[in-house]
Amino acid sequence: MITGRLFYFLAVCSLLFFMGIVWLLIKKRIILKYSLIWFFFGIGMIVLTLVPGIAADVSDMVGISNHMNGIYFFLDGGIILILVSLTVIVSELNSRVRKLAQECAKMEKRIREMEAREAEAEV
Amino acid sequence: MRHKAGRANNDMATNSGYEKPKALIIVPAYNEASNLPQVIQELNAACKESGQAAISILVINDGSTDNSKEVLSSAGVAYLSMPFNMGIGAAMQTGYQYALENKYDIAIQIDGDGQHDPKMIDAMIDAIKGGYDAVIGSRFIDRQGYQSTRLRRGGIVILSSLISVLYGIKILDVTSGLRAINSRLIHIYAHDYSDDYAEPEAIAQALDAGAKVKEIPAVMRDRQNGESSINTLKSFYYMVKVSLAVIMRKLCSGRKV
Repeated sequence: MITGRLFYFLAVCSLLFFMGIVWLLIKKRIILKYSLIWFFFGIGMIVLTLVPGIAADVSDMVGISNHMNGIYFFLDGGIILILVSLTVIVSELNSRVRKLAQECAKMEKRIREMEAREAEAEV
Repeated sequence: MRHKAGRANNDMATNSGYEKPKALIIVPAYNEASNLPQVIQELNAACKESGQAAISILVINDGSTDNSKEVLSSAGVAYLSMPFNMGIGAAMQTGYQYALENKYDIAIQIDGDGQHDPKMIDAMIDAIKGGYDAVIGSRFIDRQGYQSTRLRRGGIVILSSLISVLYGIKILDVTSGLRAINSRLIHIYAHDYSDDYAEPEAIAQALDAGAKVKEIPAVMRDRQNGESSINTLKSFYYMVKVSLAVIMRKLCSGRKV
């Protein structure tokens, strides 16, 4: 059961978190494409805090007797989801960096050889 | 031959029939400035002596922090210089892309640490011309020369057994960095090649594509200078990563990338 004091504490934390994400987006410190999941995560936290009945109902549905445990379970699930999505993003970036570096190396060779030919022609 | 392919589509090779193919020796090198002059000298001599192919050399300087680049420039050898260290997989793939773009028939990998004898080149080209898609120089057939540490040999046996179980073909020296491939595998590797510690996975990839693979005896020398970049911890990571990669490769068998 969420007590009055805990309710206000969670509500403030959720709001601060959400505002933090929005501030980072406005300041372009994070890109919307990669932070949508955080955005929805923040909204989810606010909804779960303001309407605790949802967490209670879902907890009962999946068989979690203590509703706070249910909230922690859903938060953990959300964090794991975010970590997996970050791994996907990092893997994609890794492939792109690799391709870019390979193209760079091949291009550098071409430029080096062109410059050598030009230098030879000038002589 | 120590093994035979257990797949019907292993007959789909290949390059037999061409008279004097274009071959590219790819030498991946990371901080090998002290070894490169001798390696290049030996390779140049082997290329001149070879009657099997028109051979070119390409060194991949994989973001070395020593003076490898200066050594390569003064040696007058063709080289690609990666902007930062990316691991042997990415370095080799760059070499294969270069081979594909410049229409080479054969690509030969020789490590830049001077452990491989360039005199093996002709035998490898000969095997490719004879119809094999990939040829691996193996130190465990005649058991001569440098045999690596006991720990690493144990790891190699495990990986070799894994490939044997999954693909029905026994390859003894799965981590050998002395290998040659034909244009068909050049095309495959140029588009898809493992990130790091790529050798066993590349074999699995070749077998997955129905390639005809041959192991020939090779003598591996001890490192001429410097130290190997693979320590015990890295060896463990290597084992786990490569085993998983080979298993995943088998699970994804047949899927186009």
